[in-house]
Amino acid sequence: MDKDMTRFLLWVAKAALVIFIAFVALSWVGYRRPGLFVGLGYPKVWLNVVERIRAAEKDQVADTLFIGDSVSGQLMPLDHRHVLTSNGSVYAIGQYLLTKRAIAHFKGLKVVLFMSVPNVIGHKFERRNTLDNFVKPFLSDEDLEWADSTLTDKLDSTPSLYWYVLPPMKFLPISERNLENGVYKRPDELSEWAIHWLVELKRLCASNSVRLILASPPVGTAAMEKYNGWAHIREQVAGTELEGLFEPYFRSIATYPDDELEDAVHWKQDFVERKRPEMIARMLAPFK
Amino acid sequence: MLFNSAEFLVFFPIVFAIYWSIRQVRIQNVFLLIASYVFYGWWDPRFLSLVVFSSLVDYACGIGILNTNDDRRKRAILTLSLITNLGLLGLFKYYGFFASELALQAGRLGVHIHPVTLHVVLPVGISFYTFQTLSYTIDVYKGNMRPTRDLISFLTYVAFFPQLVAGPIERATSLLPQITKRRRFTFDGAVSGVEQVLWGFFKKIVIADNCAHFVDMAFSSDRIIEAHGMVLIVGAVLFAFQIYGDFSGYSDIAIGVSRMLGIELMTNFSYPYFSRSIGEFWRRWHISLSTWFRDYLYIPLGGSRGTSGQAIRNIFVIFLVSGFWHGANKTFIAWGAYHAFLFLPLYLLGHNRNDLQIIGSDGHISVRDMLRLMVTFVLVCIGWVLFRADNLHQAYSYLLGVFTHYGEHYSFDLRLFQMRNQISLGVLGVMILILLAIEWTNRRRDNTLHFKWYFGGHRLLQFAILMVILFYGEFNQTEFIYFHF
Repeated sequence: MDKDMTRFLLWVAKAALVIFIAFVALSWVGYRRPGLFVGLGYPKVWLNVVERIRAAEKDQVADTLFIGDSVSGQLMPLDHRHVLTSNGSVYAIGQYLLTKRAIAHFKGLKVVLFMSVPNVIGHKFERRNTLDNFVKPFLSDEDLEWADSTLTDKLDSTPSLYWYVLPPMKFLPISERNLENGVYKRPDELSEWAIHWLVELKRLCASNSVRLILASPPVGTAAMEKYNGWAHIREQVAGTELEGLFEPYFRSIATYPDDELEDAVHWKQDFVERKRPEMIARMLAPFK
Repeated sequence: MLFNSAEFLVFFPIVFAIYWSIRQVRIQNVFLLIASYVFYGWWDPRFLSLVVFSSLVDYACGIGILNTNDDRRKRAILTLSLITNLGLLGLFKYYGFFASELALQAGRLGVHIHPVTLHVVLPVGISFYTFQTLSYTIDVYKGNMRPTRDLISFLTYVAFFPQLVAGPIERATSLLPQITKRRRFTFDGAVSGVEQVLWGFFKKIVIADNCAHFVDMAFSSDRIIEAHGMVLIVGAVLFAFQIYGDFSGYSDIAIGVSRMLGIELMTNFSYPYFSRSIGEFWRRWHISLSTWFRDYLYIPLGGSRGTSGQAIRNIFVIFLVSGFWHGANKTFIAWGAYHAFLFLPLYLLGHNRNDLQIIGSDGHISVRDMLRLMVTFVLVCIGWVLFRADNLHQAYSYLLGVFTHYGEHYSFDLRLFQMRNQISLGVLGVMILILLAIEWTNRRRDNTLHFKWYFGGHRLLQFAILMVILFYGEFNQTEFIYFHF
């Protein structure tokens, strides 16, 4: 090999080593202190979910934990303390993990308010953005300790996902990886995966004497009609451990005109700004 | 295959290693040709046949011209090359446009025609490689170069993968001799190549692809109706940086990759947004295309010789053709015409050849120069609205909005542009400022990042740019805009 090529390869190797070390170091810092990166405009949504995880791990006094999907986030935006609304693709399992942490760290916690619209609450693991919203933020050594077969079976079907336990892997520019191995669930259905983790969440709260409230942010009129008031989910939970949780849930669903929707589930922001108190009041009315 | 893909990350190191381990130039060229065809065929192998066909026709035309002394025969061979290459372009790129336009115009006259549409996909890079092969035959015809009998070298010249799909459009007089002779690996050349690739990725992945989210929102018809004029201005400015980052980023990567293989490609962009006039802008923007049209269209038409009327006609022809080259849409023709109208006063006043050196090259920058630079940028941005719009009506609505959408009826909220999972407008603005600052300080260099600071400061900057690419880059493998041209 000629002298210049040897020199170039050494230069590349040295540069690669420096880049690798710096990348690993920065990734560890970012994963432990997500606020630093988010503050600098780090754009990936998964680190925002990590912010919620870190907030749930912070020792504090709070009697209520607010969790939920992105529609609930429109009504109650993240406050980095006890309002930890995120998005539907963290699944019921992600909400369970947030709650588990909050129970361990929030002094005087009495209520967990879990808000999610019915089209989202029953999601399966196979959503396209699972990597960003669940795998990257939640998968850590610690979380694998308690993982049961419902999670490990899913991870085992794509073993490369275990690499995402390592923070540098989370920061690699890979996102939106297609994990849709299964058929996408119906919008008016609770997947088995969701049912399992909702039951786990209910039991977790009950064993810690914390009241779990399941409520729904408002939905569009058309969806309410199309899915017949989510009759299929009503049938699914009837006579199960979840029936008591869902009975007021269905009463909490308020409807607004579809014209005010920005997409299938999210409301136009200016509409939310105008209607926020009313929307929240209608959502929480069954629980007073 | 895209430069910004995981496949290329594997492809290039393998090509680099094998390429430099081959000693014989002929075998090296065979390997380079195979690699180039793999690179192109990765997108759609069926269209490789077009590249090969166009190459073979011009290779044969070159030999044909060499083997005859009869001028009429030479002209006939040149015509064959023109018909073949322009025919391919016409069929794949413009047929649908002309067929539907014909039907539309006939419909206005009360004659109803159902055009036969081909529903063919536009082969990536067809505008680039057809122009490249065409220039070879024209140069041979004009006696500017001797045709090659080395088929492998010629095929490699046409298909050379770094520049095959989006340029720079290389002349055979420059690239072919580099392919036929033995290349030598140099440490400095390879490092300089890496630096240029790095800067190209920054422009593409950080600037262009992040701008794209905002631009797509701004140019959506719903948004144009309700957006405040300032929001539309931001959208147009961001598109200016998107298209610059996208296309010049591609050129930088192509030039850098090529340099790592020991082959020099021509500079395609020379800091066009630091131009003080439209004339200067066109000497700095897509140089390989501008010079192609100058040498093979404008000068043969008579250039600036002849009467003023002829010169003006030639200016319009070159700008309109240049616009139409970008795509079969009236918006591109309008964009070309717009630039012709901006260029014309410079020509008539004899100022079109001013500003040959980059701003401040004499160490002095006047307020007047800076004002001219800003005015030129604004004029270019107005042109970009025509270029980006889906149709002329949308372009009109957008430009009208820029000037009239003021008042509380219109939404000024820049968060309207914000979508989840993206960098904010503020961070994007900082990135654009970084781009401008680095390019401004290095505007006398062809290779922006190829400089040295004390105590390895330049490496620290390059390292920071790499980290910015990794953390702020948009890695969803978006195609380069010019793939579609």
